[in-house]
Formats: sequence, structure tokens, C-alpha cells
Amino acid sequence: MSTGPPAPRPTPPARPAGNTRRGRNINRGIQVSFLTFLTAVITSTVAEVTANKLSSLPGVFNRYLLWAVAAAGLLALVGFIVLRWITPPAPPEELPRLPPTTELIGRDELVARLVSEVRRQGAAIVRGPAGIGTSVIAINAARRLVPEAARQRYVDLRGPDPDPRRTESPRRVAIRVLRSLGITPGPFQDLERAGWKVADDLRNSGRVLVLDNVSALDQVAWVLRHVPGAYVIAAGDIGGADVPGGVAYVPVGPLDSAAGLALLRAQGPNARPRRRRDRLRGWLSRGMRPGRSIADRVAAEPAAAAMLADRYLKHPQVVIQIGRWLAANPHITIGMLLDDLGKGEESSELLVILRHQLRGASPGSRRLLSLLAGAPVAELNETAVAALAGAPVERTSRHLRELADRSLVDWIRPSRCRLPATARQLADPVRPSLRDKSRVRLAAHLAHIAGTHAEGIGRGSRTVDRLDPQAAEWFQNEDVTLLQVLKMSAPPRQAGPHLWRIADSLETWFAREDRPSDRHATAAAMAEAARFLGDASAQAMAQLRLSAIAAAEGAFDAAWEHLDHADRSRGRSDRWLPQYEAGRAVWDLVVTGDLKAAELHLDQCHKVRPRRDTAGRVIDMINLAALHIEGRNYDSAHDWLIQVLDLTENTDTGANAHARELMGIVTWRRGHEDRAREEWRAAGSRYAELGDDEGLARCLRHLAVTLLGGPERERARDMLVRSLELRDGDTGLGTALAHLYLGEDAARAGRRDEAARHRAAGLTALSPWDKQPTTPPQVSAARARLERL
Amino acid sequence: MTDELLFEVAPRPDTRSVISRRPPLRWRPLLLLTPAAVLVGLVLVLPLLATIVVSLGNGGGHYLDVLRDPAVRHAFRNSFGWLAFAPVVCLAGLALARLAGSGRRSRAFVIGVFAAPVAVSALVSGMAFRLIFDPRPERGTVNALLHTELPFLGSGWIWVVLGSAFAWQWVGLAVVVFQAGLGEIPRDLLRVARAFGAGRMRRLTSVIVPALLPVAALVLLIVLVATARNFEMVLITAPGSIQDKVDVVGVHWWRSRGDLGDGGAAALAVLLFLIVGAAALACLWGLSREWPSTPATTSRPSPPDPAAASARRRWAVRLLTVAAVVFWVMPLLVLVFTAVHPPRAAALTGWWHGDLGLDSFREAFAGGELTKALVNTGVRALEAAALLLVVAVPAAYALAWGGLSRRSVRGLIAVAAVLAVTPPQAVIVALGYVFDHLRLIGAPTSLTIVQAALGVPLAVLLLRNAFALVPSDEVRHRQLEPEPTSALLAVASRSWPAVLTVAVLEFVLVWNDFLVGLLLGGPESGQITVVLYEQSRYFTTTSGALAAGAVVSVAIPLVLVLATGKWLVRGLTEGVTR
Repeated sequence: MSTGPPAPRPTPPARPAGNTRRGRNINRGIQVSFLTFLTAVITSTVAEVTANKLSSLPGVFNRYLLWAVAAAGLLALVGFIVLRWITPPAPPEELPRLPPTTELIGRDELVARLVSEVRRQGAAIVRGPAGIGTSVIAINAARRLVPEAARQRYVDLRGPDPDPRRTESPRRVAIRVLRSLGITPGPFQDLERAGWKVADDLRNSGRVLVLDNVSALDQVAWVLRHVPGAYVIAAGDIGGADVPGGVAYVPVGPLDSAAGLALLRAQGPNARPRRRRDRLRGWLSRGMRPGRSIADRVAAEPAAAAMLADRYLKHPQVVIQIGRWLAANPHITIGMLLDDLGKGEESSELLVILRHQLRGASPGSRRLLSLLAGAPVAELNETAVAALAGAPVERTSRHLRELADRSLVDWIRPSRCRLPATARQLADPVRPSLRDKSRVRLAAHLAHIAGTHAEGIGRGSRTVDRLDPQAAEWFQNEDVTLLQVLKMSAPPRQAGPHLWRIADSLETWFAREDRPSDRHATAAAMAEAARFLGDASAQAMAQLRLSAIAAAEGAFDAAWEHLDHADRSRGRSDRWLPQYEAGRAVWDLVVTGDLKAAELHLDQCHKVRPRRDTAGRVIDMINLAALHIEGRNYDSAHDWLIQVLDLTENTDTGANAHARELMGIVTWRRGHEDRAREEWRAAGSRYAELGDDEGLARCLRHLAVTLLGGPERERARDMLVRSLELRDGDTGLGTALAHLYLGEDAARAGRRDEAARHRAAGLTALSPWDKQPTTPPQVSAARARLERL
Repeated sequence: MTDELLFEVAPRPDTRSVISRRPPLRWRPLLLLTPAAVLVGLVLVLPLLATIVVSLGNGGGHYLDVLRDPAVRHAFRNSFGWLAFAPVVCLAGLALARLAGSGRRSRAFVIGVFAAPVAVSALVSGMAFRLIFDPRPERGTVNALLHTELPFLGSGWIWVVLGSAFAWQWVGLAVVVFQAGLGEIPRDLLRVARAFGAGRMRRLTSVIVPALLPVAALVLLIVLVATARNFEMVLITAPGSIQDKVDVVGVHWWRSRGDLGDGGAAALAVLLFLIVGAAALACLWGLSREWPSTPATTSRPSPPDPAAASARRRWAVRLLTVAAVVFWVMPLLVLVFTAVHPPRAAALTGWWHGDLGLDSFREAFAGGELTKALVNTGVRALEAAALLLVVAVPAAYALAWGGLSRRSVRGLIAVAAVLAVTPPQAVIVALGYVFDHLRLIGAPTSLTIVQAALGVPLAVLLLRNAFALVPSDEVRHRQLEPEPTSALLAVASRSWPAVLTVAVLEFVLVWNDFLVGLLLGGPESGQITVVLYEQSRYFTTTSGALAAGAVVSVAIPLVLVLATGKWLVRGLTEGVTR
């Protein structure tokens, strides 16, 4: 019995037109044409002046020769433009399907068993040590279960961290699984909820979901369940607790000797030595002794082959590496190989083979391997690798292909590669300065792309609000990589500005996605990097973000601590001061209710805000309006809001929605009830358009509160319940108000138990204010009414 | 007592990235702007500054001297008259565009008939109208038709001839652009206005006029510049005896710069530049007006106008159309028929008489001067168009997508608009000094560079408008590709009608250029218009050969404009109508 390779190895795929070799050549051609033409014009002018001055240069040089050069440039330009037009368009991106594998030679029995178990129980775990072939068994079983490619989904759970011991957290796995199914993760509190989302999507869909390279059971326990009309398979070296009930378990063991030898023989025929020297040596040796395929060599030395199989051909991955190496080195006999493997001090035979593979690699590839080993992430796409190497994409591609051919790099997704842990051990050491430079280049490259894409997904701020799908897709694929880069240990000093730009982009992306825990992780990583680099400004900005996230979660102590930390980080640069003053003002408005202090901070904020920060000025105006509403100065609030609406009508939907929401409160307080509801409806639809659940929940609550006393009471109750569903946490004034009004309504209807439940939930929602010496009037009033319930 | 409703008044936290007080300096757009800036700086800005400096000599006394000169004042009066004539031309264009409708067939018809004169040089246009309005009834078409002997080329009537020639050349362009603009008027808004009972006048003032304002500004800008630069048309149409009567500032500057002295000529040129620049800035304000875009309405057929359904009106429209077609086709026909008469017959009789032959063509090509001029002008026009694209495309991209601040872009656009309308008279003296010093008068490359540089500002404006329409997502994604020029090329290839328009316009402008060729090229440059002008000194006796030369010179740009007309309209109005 034999088996196929343990890991899928797709070939480097087609890339967008501009990234292809052809596309690059076209671009270069146009640049050359442009420069040729310009040079011809300049030279011609100079020649004309010289000729007229000296009256000695021949006329033919003066005119025809140079214009011939120009004409050649023009001709080349036209040629390249035509070439560009006929370049095929890039293939569209699709949801991840099962990757291709080579022919499955053995393991038929295991695959058949897995298929029948999955059909019976709906979910299964394929467990075995790394390289034993769990992936290929799972993928082949999935293909047999659901032959239609469109219904196959595949998620590789290996994380971006180069250290294989640091695996992906279950929450991050959940995000990747949801994305692979085309579901927007959104804010979810627990894995159970994510599990239900997946189950809902898979139910009766006839799909199969393969979760590959699982390293711990808790990564996938939430999704491993029987879902009618769908299958789930988890494969990998899965550690952790026992297999949950209701899930099939298929262990994968080592190959027997016969299977190992069969697999080894199957590697040979198609391989061609890479180096000319090896090809020549192979040709010479064939000339002397015909028939040097692996099968021939095995047949020539049966005893050595049997010993090789007994000792080393247990793991398919090892067998394949040995086979490839033998195929590429036809002068090596089985006996010589056996000696080599026996002599080595290495604990792993795979390492020995890979070392052999590396020996033949070009210096460029070896250097690239070293840089990849020193990179802060394990997975990168081709252009990022090029940035890391500081080399053109084309040359980097060539080196990557060479490394992939030698199994030193895995292609895990189209145009994306990963450095295996074993290859990392083989990399030559690089000078720290070189490694730092490569890290700076990588950070700069990713920061540029992230910053540009952040403009396409920004909610509010300086950009349009429409979500750019391509930018969103890029972040979906790369957010983990960006976070990993931000978390790099001992970042070089020059990387600082790039890391802050990455942090800013991630903040925009995670805010848009409503992922507070990822926002927290980003800000924490930024704070740590800023601390290491001694950048007070970045440190303060990160602390301000941490403070805002903590305050939104009701963790006022932590929020104050971060705010205080930001204040203490004050260095020579005060560029973050507007954000700090705005943060203090928000703190005073939301937590302490000290309107005078809030006004002082807003005034200070106005003074230090740069003139060109229009979006910042809009934020200040909204906060001033909020301040005046709290102070019952509705006329001033109205004036500020009118200005905001005027400024943001076609530019900043988020701020516009916020202004409309506050305008609704102002108009309600002035007695214009219908107009107020209109404003909240308009704000709500804008929030919904942006995916801002928090804002939508507030608008629903405002509307519901005003409708409760009227004929639309039932609808109002539904809206309050919906607003509670939309909110992330159990704390906050909004949650408390929703419970207050639901409780009062229940009390009026005589449902005392329900009212008591809402009373308790409402008071819990206000608990973060319990320790505060002063509270905003709204909080005190809400608490008093809740206690009266 | 009922409790007051409690609302959560949420403030807005600011966790955005830090905004620096000064925007970071962007090298890439500056690099892209450099070739255009160098070219325009050397050929337009520095000579203009030199002219201004020379004009300010004598403590500004040159301006006083010039303004005190009665001949100059007369030329200014005439020039202002021409400027006042520009809106009339625009209104005529609007009326004809409304008459033509906006269907596909009518568009093709309008481009085919009305846009053709754009390809004809002012010199040839003046020549054709001089033939049509010849005072002798046996030669002049109008006098022959009216059976009169009106002195059209005499004082007074000459304005009719000049006005007709100018209108013939520019009304067509106005028709084409207005037709595109009318097609973009939001039909939904018109319907809503009608539903709310808005009358015809109200609809016109509240919907149609605001929607047409950017288009009207563009047309007015082009026509105003044409009136202010009016030179060769006056020179060739008016006989020498009455030229001082129809003098405009440009012509007066050319004829009297020796008398005026360096300072006086410079002051006159600067005054001319100020007039045109002010007009251009006013039009630019109109161009910057925003109007909601309604691309969907363009493909929708416009509902039939109930008023147009009446038979009487239909007949009136047909009659007017026929009259307009005759008016537009006639000058070219007159040229062609005069050219196919032998030289003697063409000199003595009108184009409608018999005795046809190709002798005039033979005479025109005799000596090879015309052939050489055609080749030289053609090569130079091609080279100038190519150079213009090489320089203007990167600059326009930098303005549209280079990431420059809005204020910088606005400033650069205003500068480009003013430079686009700079009359050659304002820079030609300083350039002539340099050319003379370096012995470059007639040197082909230098002349090409000057002609290309004069076209760069307008090309950058047109291309920038078109480039700005490319979806931002697409540009952003291209900007992220490893090849830095990828986004530029993608934007340029998406806006290819505008790129084509700029190239064709430059070709036509250089082909039809007279003033620069005359003053910097001299006879050895072989500019076709200069050669024709040299032959027109004995207009009556050489009219056959002159017409033959004119027909040949018109053929190439005419074919080019007619072949690319559909895309030219798109390229010209992109970014203005949307």
C-alpha cells in the first residue's frame, strides 16, 4: 500500500495582469519608449543649436537620424500598447476550494473508512503526526463525498507566526472559517455563536468543509458537529482533549515498507536535474550504465532499498523529498544515500534531505531563504517577498520557484508562499543589519498597500464611505499578516513610521468590521512597538485607542489608565494632542458628566487641531453639539449640527449619520416629533449602509422610546429588543435605557417578573459608573428610574 | 408627573491616525509634472515674464504711450467687438444644437457638417469667404445671387464677411459641444419640474441653464480665445487698403511693432494677454460649477417634444437645417470648384462657370514648394502631437491622481487655464530673440517644441478632466502594483478618447498654425499656411492656384477630424458634461 504526497503543492498561479512578467515587460517597454522619445527630442534640440552655432555638423545628423530614433520609440510605444491590450485579464478571485493534490497511490482503505464515517456522523477528525499524510487523505475523502468543486471549501489553519508553536487562536480560526464560507464575521461574543452561523450556512447545502493543518482540538471543536446535508473534516497533528462525542475519529499511521518503496519509485520519472552540471553527469552516467531511474536503482540494490524502507520510508513527506532528490541526482545510488542518512547527526532524516536540496540552490535563492527565515511572518505573497528581498518581483519569483522545487518553500495559495519550519532551520544566518533592512522594506511595502486600501474602506474620516470590495478582500486575506508584522519582536527603528501606518489601517479595518478584540490587539501591539522604539507620539496614540476601546466596553478603570498613560507619554511631539483632547472630552461627557471640563478640552482640541484636518473638525463640532444637548442649549447644538450636515453631505456618511442622530434629539426636545423621527430614520439607514451596528442600535432606541406611548407600542418593543441584539456588550447607557423602557412597559402591562429582569439587567449595564464619584445626568436619571421599577 | 424621555447622547471619539500640520512632500507627482513644467516654463512662462519686464520699463510709460495711440485704441475697440461677438457665436451654436436634436443620426450629421470647419485654418477660411463675397458679381457668389454689386470687401461690409467667416469656423464646434451637453441634461429633473407646473422659462432658468453652464463655459472659453487670437483671418480677408479699419490688437502689434518700439510692443502684447486671461478665468469659474451626473439618461431616448410635432414647425426646422447645411458646405465647395478651374478662368470668372481643369493644381505644385511644405508641416504636426502626449499625459495624471492637495491642484489648473489662452504675441518677441541669438529661425525641432509647448496647458486641462473620471478604486489598485507606471498607463488607456482628442487637436493646430510659423519659422520652415499666405499677395490673379493649395492643405486635417469626430466630441466634453 502506498500514498500520495502529504501536502498539496499547487504551482504558482496566474496573477493580475500588472504583476505578470508579461505585464511588467509591457510597462517597461512603454517607459523605454517614453524615455527614448524624450531623449531624442532633447538631443535633437541640442544638435540643432550646436549645428547652427558651429555650422559644421552634417544636416542628416541634425534631422533625420534623431527623428529616426524618436520614430523607433514611438513605434515601440504603439507595439507595447497593442501588446498590453491583448494581455488577458486576471482571473476572478473565488472562495477557497480544495487545493489540487497529486495522484493518491495508496491509503485507499483509510480514505474509504473516512468517507463512510463522515457519511454516518457528518463530522470527522483525521489525526496523525506532521507529514504523515492527513491532509491528502482528508482532501481525497472530501472529493469523494462531494465531487462538485463549487461545493468544496478548504481552510488551511496554519497561522502567520513563524514559530510553529504559536498556533492560531480558536477565535481567529472562526473568522477564517466564516470568511471561507462567504460570511462576514461581524462582532461575535463567543465561538458558540460562530458555530451556529457556520451550521446555518452549511445546513442542507451539500457542501464539504475541510479544515487542514489543525494543531489543537479547541481550534475546531466549535465547528465539529453534525450538520444535516453537509460534511466537516478536520485534519492535522491535532493535540488537546479527547475527540468530542458524535465526531468520527480516523488515526493515520506510518507507511509500511512496501508502500514506502512504491511511493519512492513513483517520484522518479518526471524529475529533471536542475543544474547543467547534474544533467551532464546524469547523461554521462546513463551513457556508461543505462537506466538510472529510481526504480532501476531500487531494483539494482534490493537489500539497500529494503533497509532504506525499513529505516526511513515511514513518512510520506520524507519519502517524497528523498525521491525528488534522487531523481535530481541520478549519480547517487541507494547505497550512497543510505550512508549519507546514516552518517548525519541530525535527528530528522527530512532535514538531511533538505540540506542536500539546499546545497544545489543558487546563491540568490539561499539568500532569499535566509531573509524569509528572519521575516516576522511565515506566509507572504510574491510581491511582499520581493519587498523583503529588496529585489525585482521577477527575480524573486524565480528564486521562489527554485526553492519550491526543492521543497524549501510551500505554495499554499495562489501567489502566496510559506516557509516550512524545517526549511527555516536550514537557512544560513544573516547579518542583523541586513535582516533589519529587509524587515523595514517589508513593513514599508505592506504599510503602503494597507494605507492605500484603508482609503477604500474608511468609515468617515478623510475618505469616501463606500466600501471598496477589492480593498475589503485584501484586508480579509492580509489582516492577520499585518497584525503579525506589527507584533514583530525588536522592530528596527526605521520601521516605526511604517508600523504606525499599518496600525492605523488595521484600526480602520477592524472598526469597520466591528471587531473590538482585534482593535485591542492592534493597539496593544502598536503600544508595545512604540515603547520599544521610544516613540512617544505613537505610544500616546495607541494608548488613546486602547482607552476608547476599554471605555466602549464599560471598563472605565482601564480606560482612564490608558488615557493617563497617553498623557504621561507626552514627548517633544504633540501631533496627537487633538486626539487626546477629544478623548478627554468624550471621557467627561460619557463617564463623569463634567460638562465644564468637557468644554475646556473641546476648546483646547479646537486650538491644537491642524487646519487641514477637516474630518477632525467635524468630530469636534459633533462633540460640541453633544455637549450643548447635555447642557440643554439646543439652539447652539442645532447650529453646530447644521454646519456638520453641510460639510458632510457627500463626503462623510458616518459623521453625517451621527449629526442627523443628534439633530433628531435636538428637534425632539424642541417639540418637532415627526421631524425628529425622520432624522433618526435617515441616520439609521446611513448607519446600516456603513454596517455601524452601534449607531443603528442607538437610532432604533431613540425611535422606539418615542413610539412606546402610542399605537405602535408592539413595534417599539421589537425595536428595543433588536437594539439590544445589535449591541456588543451588556454594559453601557444604551443597554440600560433599552432595559429601562422595556421594564417600564412590562410593569405597565402587569408583567412584574419581566420588569424585574429588565431592572436587574439595566442596573448591571450601569454598574461601570458605580465607582465613579460623579456621573452624567442621564445615567443618574436612568439609575433612579430603574431602581423605582 | 410623567418622566422626561431619556436619550443616549453619544459623542464621537477620535481614534484616527495623527494628521500632520504640513502635508508630506510628494515627489512622484512633481516628477511627473516636471517635463511639462520645463517645457511650458521655457517656452511660455519665461518669455511671458520677459515681455512683462520689458513692458514695465520706462516706469510703466509704455502702457500710457500705447493707450494714447489712436490706432491702438481703434484696434482695442475692434478686439473688444470681437470678444462681444463670441457669446453670439455660442448662442447660435446652442440654437442649432437644439434644432439638431440629440439622436445618434443627428449627432453623426452634426459632426459631419458642422464640425468640419474646425479642421480648416483661419487663413483658408478667410480665403474662402473672400471668394464668396468678392464685390464683382461675375466672381462673387453673394453678389451674383443677389444681382447686386455690394462692396463686401470695403469698409463696413467687411465686418459681415469677417463675422461670417469666423462664425462658419466656430459655430460648428459650439453646436457639437452643446449637443453633447443637451444630451446630458437630467431628464428626470425636467419631468419633475414639468410635473410641478414649472413653465418653459422656469425650466430653462432652473434646470437647463445650470446644467449647460459648464458646457457653455467650455465653448465660450474656446471661442473667446479664438476671437482674441484672431490674426490671419483678418490679414487675408481684408484687402490691404482697408486693413487699418479692421485692425485688431494682434494684427496691429504685428504690423506696428517696429513703430511702437520694444517697450510699446511688449505693453500691447501684455494688454492682449490680460484681456484673454481675464476671460479665461471667468470661464474657468463656470467650468468649476458642479452638476449632478446622470449617465443613465444619456442612453435613454429623449421623449418627443410635443411642440415639435406640429407640421409647420417641422417644415421650419427642415428649412433652417437646409439653410444651415448650405451655409456650412458652401465655403468648401467654393474652394474646391475654384480650384478645379484653370488659373485664368478662376481669376476672371466665378466658380459656377464652365471651363474646368486641373491646371490650378499643377500651378500650385509647380516648383515643389507646396509639396515640401505639406511634408514639413505634416511631419512637424505629428512630432508635436507625440511630444505633447509624452509631456501632457504624465502631468495630467499627476493633477488627477498624484495625491496633490486640492489647493495645489486648483492653483495649477488656474495657471494652466491662463497659459492655455496666452496669445503667441505675448511670448514671441522674447522667443524670437533667443531663436535669433541661437540662429534657430526655421530650425525644425525648435519650432516643433514651441508649437507643442503652446498646446500643453490646454491638453493638460482636457486630459485631467477625463482622467479624473476613472473610478478611484481602479486607480488605487493599479497604484499598488509593483510597476510604478501601471496606474498611469491604465488611466490613460481608459481615457483614450481624450488622449486621441488631444493628439488630433494638436495635429490640427500645428498644421493650421500661422503666426508661430511666420515669426519663428520664416520661409525655410515650410509651414503650409505661411506658403499659402505668401502666394495670396496677388489674391485675385492667383486665386486658382491659391484655392488648389488651400484644398490640398485642408484635406488632411479634415479627413482626420471627420474620421475621429465621434471620439473627439467625447474626448472634448468628458469631465465637463459629467
